[in-house]
Amino acid sequence: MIPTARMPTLRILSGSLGVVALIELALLRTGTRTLVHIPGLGRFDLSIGLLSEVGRLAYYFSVVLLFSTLVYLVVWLWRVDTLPARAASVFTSFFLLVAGAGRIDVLTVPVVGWCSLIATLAVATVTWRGVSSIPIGLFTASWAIAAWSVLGQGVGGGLSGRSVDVSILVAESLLILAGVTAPLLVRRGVGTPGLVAGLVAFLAVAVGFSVGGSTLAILALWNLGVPGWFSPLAFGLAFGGLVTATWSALAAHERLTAVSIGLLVAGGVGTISTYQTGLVVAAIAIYYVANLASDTETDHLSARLQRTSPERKSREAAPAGRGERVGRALARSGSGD
Amino acid sequence: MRAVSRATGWEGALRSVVSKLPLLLGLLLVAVVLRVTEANPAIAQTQSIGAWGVSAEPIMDGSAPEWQSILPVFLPTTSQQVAPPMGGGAIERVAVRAVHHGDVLYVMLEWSDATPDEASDRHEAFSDAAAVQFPAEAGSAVPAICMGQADRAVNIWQWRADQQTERSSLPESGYVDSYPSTDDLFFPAREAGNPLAQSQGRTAVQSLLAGGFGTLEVAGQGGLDGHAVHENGRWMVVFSRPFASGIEMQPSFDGSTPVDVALAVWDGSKQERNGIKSVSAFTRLQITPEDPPRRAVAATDDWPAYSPSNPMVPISIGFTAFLIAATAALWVYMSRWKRETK
Repeated sequence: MIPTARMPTLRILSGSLGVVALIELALLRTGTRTLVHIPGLGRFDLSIGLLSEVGRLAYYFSVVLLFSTLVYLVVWLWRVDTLPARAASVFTSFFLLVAGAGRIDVLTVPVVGWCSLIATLAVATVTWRGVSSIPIGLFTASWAIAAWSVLGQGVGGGLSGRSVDVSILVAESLLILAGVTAPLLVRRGVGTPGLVAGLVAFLAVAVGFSVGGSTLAILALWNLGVPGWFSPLAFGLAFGGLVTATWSALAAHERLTAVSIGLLVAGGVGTISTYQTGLVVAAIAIYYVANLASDTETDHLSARLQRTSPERKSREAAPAGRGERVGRALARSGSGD
Repeated sequence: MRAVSRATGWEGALRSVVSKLPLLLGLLLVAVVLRVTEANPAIAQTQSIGAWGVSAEPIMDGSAPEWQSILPVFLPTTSQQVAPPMGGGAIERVAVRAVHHGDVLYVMLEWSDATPDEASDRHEAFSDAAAVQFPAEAGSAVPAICMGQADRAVNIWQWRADQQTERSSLPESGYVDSYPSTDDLFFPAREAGNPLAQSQGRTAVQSLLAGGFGTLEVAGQGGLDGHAVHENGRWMVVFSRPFASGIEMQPSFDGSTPVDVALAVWDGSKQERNGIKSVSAFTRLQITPEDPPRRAVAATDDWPAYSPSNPMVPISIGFTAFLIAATAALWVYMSRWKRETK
């Protein structure tokens, strides 16, 4: 069994990262960019300045938490004795190395960008888990295409205007689809409260931004890396899907899944900074870990049922399942927590 | 064992947080140190624009082959919705090229606009315009994109079509009071020093300074110049300024570090003026001694006949319909999956 209780460090690091990254997104990247311009708020300059400072500190805290979480994930995944987990560990460490080399100017920004693209695609590929990974796959594809529209141009162009239009259009479409399909991420399915929450979120975005559609566009450009060409209805559906998935994940105690969704939102699409790219890599890896933990929990439950079943003896002769093998490995590796 | 493995509730989560509090406090301390020293462990990966070295002095005509042969970097733009008056977004992308020669920086913006609006001689007539915005001073964080902020001002170079062309004569259907004198006293804007109202010494580009919404003021030109042409349904505006303007609160371009830069464009015939405009996000301008990369793709591919917004209407409607269907299908699938899981 790989009990979530046996990986408290990862849970705490990733959970804190999810919360702090969303605070940073709300305060620094959204709040202070909009509040400072609202007429009549001049008398709240001090409060806005304070919020800005809290947002800035949240940014630095989030960066520290991110790189700590990524390092922890590298070690944790390596200790899981399966090929996909080790590959995920290798590619995550590759991203960390590249981001670090870019920071100390060993690698140039374009090289860091291309390597980030490779690392992110590789982590998403090796952690693919079938239907439940569809939203992650769509998001990663959107991220990669948006990154391509930047990296493909480099500092000296190289993509035609039509190519840039198409890539941005496709990236935005895939991003919206990722949001709509987000409930697939929740292993125990979505409940009525989650659907209601999603519906409310959908209505809020669709109606709110239909009144001021360009608000949606500029927030999408700033925070998500896409220009917000699609209608508020489409963005509303995507947001509704995200809220449904997050609500349902929390209700089902799938907190790592909820963290993963939060990190994807905070990360946005395209190569914006190594921080935001790191959030996306962490989100993909954390969702994989969440599934591994779930597999072994399921296996453990099955094993207990088998022990009490009349057919126990005949099943005992059967070889151990993949999840059970992962569980044993993880139980060993996780015992240190 | 059961108690441990079932410790998945909020109580368990809280207990876990408390048990790891020293770790979190340690990481927070590291974050505070990084914040105080402004040592950012992450680096920007946003779009960069190369400012290339050229051997001959560039001409101020963006339609010239020497400009058009340089590969542009396309930046998506969107409407401005932060500070009132809000709106815009008629221009959806701008092509940017930049070169330098003899310690002078040249930035050329090109965008699609079928109708050149070069006069603002009526209340309802607005001029086409373009602007390039830099942080006024180097800093670790970029200012707020819309006119900067109190502690991080921005220097803006703005070109206006109506300032480049000679003032048009009175429209045929127009009326005007005749002033008895040409003295500035009878022209309040001119008397107050409004640079746009001057009859002499006007320039198509202005250097402006802003430290937040409503604080825009004229800054010293510092050698800033600019000129635009309208050809084949596109505006091509060339800005030029010496690397060092010699004026405070204006950026210097020494090439050692990239400079943050953002763009804005106005389409007068779409009623865009003031804050109603299309803006880009901040990108980076990287000055390099290398030769510019020359064009490898056909120009027609850069400016397809369609306006990017037009096909978006049917695509958006179709895609939204598809999304609704996909959402319904997903709902059904999830319900079935949930039943099977139970």
